[in-house]
Amino acid sequence: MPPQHWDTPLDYEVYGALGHVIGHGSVVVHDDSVDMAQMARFALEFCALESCGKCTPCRIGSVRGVEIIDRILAGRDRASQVIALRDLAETMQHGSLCAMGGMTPYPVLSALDHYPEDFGVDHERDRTAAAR
Amino acid sequence: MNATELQRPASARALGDDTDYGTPARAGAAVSLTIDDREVTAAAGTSVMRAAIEAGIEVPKLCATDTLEAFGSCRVCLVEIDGRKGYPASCTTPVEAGMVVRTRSPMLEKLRRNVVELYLSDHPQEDTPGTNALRSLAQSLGAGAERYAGGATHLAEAKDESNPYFAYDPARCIVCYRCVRACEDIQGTYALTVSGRGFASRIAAGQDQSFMASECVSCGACVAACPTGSLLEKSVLARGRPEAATVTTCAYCGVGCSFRVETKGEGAALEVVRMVPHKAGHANEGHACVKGRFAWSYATHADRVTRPMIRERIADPWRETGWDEAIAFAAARLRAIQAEHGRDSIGGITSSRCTNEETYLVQKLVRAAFGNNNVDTCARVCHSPTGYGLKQTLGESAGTQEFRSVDKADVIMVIGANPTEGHPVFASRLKRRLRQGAKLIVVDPRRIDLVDSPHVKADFHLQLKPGANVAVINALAHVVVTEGLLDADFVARRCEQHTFVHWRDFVALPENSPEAMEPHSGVPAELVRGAARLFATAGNAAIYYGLGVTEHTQGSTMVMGIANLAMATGNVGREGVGVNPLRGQNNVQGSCDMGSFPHELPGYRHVSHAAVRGQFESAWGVPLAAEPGLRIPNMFEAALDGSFRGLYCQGEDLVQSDPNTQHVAAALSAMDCVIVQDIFLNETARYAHVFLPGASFLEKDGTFTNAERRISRVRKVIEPLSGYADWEVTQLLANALGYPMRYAHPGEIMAEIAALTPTFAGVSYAKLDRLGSIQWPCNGAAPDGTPTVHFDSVAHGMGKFFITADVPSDEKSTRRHPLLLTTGRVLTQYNFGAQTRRTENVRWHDEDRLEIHPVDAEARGIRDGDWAGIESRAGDTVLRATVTDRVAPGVVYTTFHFPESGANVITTDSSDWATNCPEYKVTAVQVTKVTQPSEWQQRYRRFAAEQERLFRSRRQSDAAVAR
Repeated sequence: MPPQHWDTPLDYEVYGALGHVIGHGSVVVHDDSVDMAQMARFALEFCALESCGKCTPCRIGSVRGVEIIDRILAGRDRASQVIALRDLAETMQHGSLCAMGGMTPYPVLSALDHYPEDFGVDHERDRTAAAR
Repeated sequence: MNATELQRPASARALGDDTDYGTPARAGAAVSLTIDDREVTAAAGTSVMRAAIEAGIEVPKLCATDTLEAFGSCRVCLVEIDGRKGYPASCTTPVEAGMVVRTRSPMLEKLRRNVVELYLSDHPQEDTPGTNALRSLAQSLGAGAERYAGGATHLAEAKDESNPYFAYDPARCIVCYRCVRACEDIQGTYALTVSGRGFASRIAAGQDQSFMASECVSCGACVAACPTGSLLEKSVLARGRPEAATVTTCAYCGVGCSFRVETKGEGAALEVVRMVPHKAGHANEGHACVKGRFAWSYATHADRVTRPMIRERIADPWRETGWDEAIAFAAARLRAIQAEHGRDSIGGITSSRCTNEETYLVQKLVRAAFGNNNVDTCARVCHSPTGYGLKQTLGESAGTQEFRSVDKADVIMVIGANPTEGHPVFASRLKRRLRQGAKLIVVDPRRIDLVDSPHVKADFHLQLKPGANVAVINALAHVVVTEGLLDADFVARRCEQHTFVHWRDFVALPENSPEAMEPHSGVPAELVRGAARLFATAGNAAIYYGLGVTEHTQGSTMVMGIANLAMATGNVGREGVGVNPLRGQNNVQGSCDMGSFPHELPGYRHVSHAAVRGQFESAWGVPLAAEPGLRIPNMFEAALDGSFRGLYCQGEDLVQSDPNTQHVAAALSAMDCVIVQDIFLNETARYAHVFLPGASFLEKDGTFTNAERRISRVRKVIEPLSGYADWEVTQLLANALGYPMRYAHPGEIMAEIAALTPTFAGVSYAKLDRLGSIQWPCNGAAPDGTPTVHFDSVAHGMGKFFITADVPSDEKSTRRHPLLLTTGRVLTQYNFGAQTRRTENVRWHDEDRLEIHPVDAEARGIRDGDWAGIESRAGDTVLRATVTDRVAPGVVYTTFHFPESGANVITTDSSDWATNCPEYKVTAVQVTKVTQPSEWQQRYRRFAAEQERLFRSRRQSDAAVAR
């Protein structure tokens, strides 16, 4: 969640209206030296660790998600891998059997959307490049 | 559309319909909904997926298959439903009235493609000969895995090739769980699971063991369920993808599974690739066991004898010859014997493995061409008491139900049967019902698997002493009668009152109480009382029984006792109840139906019945003998006596299967002309003068009748290796004897059977093709056959009760023979092993072992694996011992799948009073520790080796196998 939303009341519907999601009650505290890309990667890695393995979007998707973020951070095929990450996020959100796979993409996407610099991604630059 | 009941029975699959509907069928009220702008109707409880596919709308799927309940893991079948959030899986969503569903939309296409892309990122690029639903789906969606290249995969994992018949390639596994679900819900063995979690999820057998080392029973359900060929038949890997399929019926046990024989090539190059259980098969509904599914290579084994052979004396080497000479030789010998010793000096034995048409021809040969009634069948030694006992009490020589009936049973009593070994596909169905909550009573001297296995536990195990069957059934009946548990209404309506009253008074006597019977039976009285109360009060009660009931001196008595109990508790004549004999062989029911008994014409009518005999006389064109002929045991006696000297034996190994082997061998040695028709040179052939090569079930057309009275087609896939099907050989012999037979096709034989046998009147090959199978009676009253014999029809007659006084066998434990031996079977070997010993099934069971209780073993200094000598009053043999507490102290047990075990050397000629069914199940024996094979075994080895030499050194014929 970007700084401009930090005064939002902690309410499911209010967050939902902003496109954010409140999870199941855990609170992660960090200071401003945090690397949001690493947090996004950790969300996917945690999903892979916890995954029961029954449904494919989560079982395979969580592992692939970590691999994609690693490629993005290494600067390999960054533009297309960002697209892949968004596709994967959508697949996991809508295709997962349960909310674990279904909700994991939210922190990943909000990190990518609001803290792209930690990913080495410049949305403006990428949009312009895509338009060309 | 009006809300009518859509009654769709569980297997409402049209013949020839191979569609996979995704989830199982349901029966229920009709529900209307809209799918892709089309009005669709489905039964309540049906999944949206199935409703769509039934309406012709394709829904992609990977983890769904209609033999298993929905699972919802692949996420490929997602749909959009108006008013519902997200993209629900259509397999796990039941239909609801007024639902509006879309199976196509840009988002759904995208999601499907992306999910398939994820699958592909951990899947090999190369194909195998197996079909791969993932690859087909990827192609149709245009999905590839390039975006994820270089990520973690399971492609380097080692294959499991431990099972001789199928391989597991983990690289191809998509973790859809179909194999695990099949092993649980269809087979009921629970051998498979997924070990590891998340990405590390992998299919595991047992405790992360190889398939072979685990509890896997190699039924192949997982292989059939696997959508990607990760589990695949080794024969497909070796021979390539099959090109064509023929539906036929298994030639092993009395379940009579329907199979698709999948083949490749044509004509002389045709080969069988695999046997796949047929989903539309009424007896098995897509399931099978290791034998029918995989152990079929015996049909083309090198041991197949494909040329006729003759010899003057059994000490001579065999001489190969052409058909004409062999048949002429046999016919001349038989007539010469009759000329010298009389018309009754020869006879025949029909096969319970050959088709109905073939059996019919053999008994017709004996009756019309030999001119006597000396014909018998192997049912003599297994279920003849069923024929007698059920005819007396219930009026029909067969079971009353179909297998599906067990789905409605509330309590099931299994007596003297081991279905997980002997009728595995039925056992899977039974176990499923038990997992749903039905209760189980097991009456068996051994702790069979059914007593305690995954998710199945007997509520009562009455572990009786061998020989105490009638005591126990009388004690159970005593409880029913004296504790007011009779179904008085049923008895009054459907049973003869005077027989009932006599029986009731008899069974109520104090000497028939569980307490009085306890010392004799070895079963604690309160267990008997508990079991009886459960049986009489739990609702629908069904009895399933096997050779542990019939192969006793009181076999017929016990069958009648079972029928008495069923009638007294009103458990006859509808679904979910009944008296169910588990017929063993693929066509033993058929063989009995076809008039193989010396006293009965086809359809179980006595030969002395003038009107019936007259019908056959005019159809067959010759006078027929009115007196019953010799039963098999009588044939042996008469042979030793010198009055019975010629035998035509089709598809039956008397020397190995009949009791008292030495007696049988002596009888055969005394004969002048023994003709054996079989696919292998069996033990009986060692005493034969003429060997006529037989045909396996793959090589002929015909029908088999299973334990449900279900007649199914057997269809030829390969040309007979010997040039003739078995029925053609019988026809050749008949013609050579001067009795003309001119059938061009087995369908003509069935037409003759139908014309002469009222219970078969409506049976024809055309109808069989149309319906798939027919359960007799099939006639004007029941043109499509009779699944359940309903006791309520007046035409059926009233049930009769019979007094079943316990007359204990002479086979009692004595000081000299203090232990009681009983016998049984294992899953992977079939009867005396002629077929299964010639397949990879020997990997599971390669010798017969003697099970002995630790207490008895210790007293004799016998440890597990030691050689144990077993001696009875009939003979002795040696087996390796398995020390186990499956048997009670005082009881020993063995199987009889290997001829060198000589299990029947020890069994005696005690037999059932009514039918002469041998008492295989009770033999008094002594067991001692030994260091060398028995004298019989040494003689057997010498004799067998000599006969082998005579076979190998046979003068081979250059003549082509000519027709």
